[in-house]
Amino acid sequence: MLAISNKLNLQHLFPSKVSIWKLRSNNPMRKSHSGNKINIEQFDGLIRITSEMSKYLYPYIRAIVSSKDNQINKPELWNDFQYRFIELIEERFNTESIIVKNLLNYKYSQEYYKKILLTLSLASSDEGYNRLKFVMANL
Amino acid sequence: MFQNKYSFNQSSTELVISGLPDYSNNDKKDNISIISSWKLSIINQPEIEGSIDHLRCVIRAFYKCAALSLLDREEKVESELINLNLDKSGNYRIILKSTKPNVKPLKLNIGYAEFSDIINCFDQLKNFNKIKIDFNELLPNIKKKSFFSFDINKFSNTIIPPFLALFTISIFTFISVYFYENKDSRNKNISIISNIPNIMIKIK
Repeated sequence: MLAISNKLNLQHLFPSKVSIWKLRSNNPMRKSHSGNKINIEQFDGLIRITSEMSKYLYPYIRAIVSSKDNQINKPELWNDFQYRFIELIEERFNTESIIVKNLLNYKYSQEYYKKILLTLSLASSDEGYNRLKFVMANL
Repeated sequence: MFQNKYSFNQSSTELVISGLPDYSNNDKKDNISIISSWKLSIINQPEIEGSIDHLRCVIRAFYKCAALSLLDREEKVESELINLNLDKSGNYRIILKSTKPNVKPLKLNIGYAEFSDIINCFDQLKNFNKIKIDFNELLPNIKKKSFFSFDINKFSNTIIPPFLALFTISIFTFISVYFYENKDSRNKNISIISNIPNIMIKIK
């Protein structure tokens, strides 16, 4: 993330790994949640980084989405993704929270995981930043 | 005069645009301002082609559908030339209507992966400066939902279950009260006179 932030000339917003970690701690679902305030510039910077990262990861994202689309014939990649995603949530999120418990529920959250991947795949093009920003503004 | 031809690729999808420069608009030799034909090829699907109006319509529908999907809104995208909806199995159902008479609509079913490929192709086209299409009118104009906006699904999920529960409880209460009253009145109508040696039951 830091390398991408440097590539996008966002050093003034994210000078170190710690600064990025602090911003990630704003997520109330995380175990290490802290009430730091995030300003508009940082929020915009995070959208830029997300869009840029999804560009690099697009082949993988697409392969996982494709595996989900053909779950009967090629379920392996989707199952691996799901397993790892749940593992990371358990590791880093507050599992006592009801929202997190719902996230860990395979049947309840399957569509949600798919939506996350679709969002990332649509954020991966040159228009991805604008699209992601539009969505965040209209949520 | 030679036509210019450009193609945009993304994984399973290819968009090819052919056309001519508009010299009256000071276009360069390799520009396209007048689109003569376009073709969208998706692996394992029939090719889609048409006029510039079709292309505009298709791009508008896809951009709107992408925005609605990201906002998690279940609205149908319908126009004169294309219908595009997300079905319950998680696939995009496309119905392309031909302007020619006696031509049946073309129905396609694509997954999320192909959908994002198509959107990526359109994004490449949008950012390609040699083809001049006014994208401002093609971008979705989705109004933000107001706090008081009425959502029939949310309404049915939140209001109807407790209302039904109350309704059932009240019906059961009425039924039990009715039976209780009936039993009570029947007891009142029966008097037992025990002073007489032979027990006498008097029913009114």
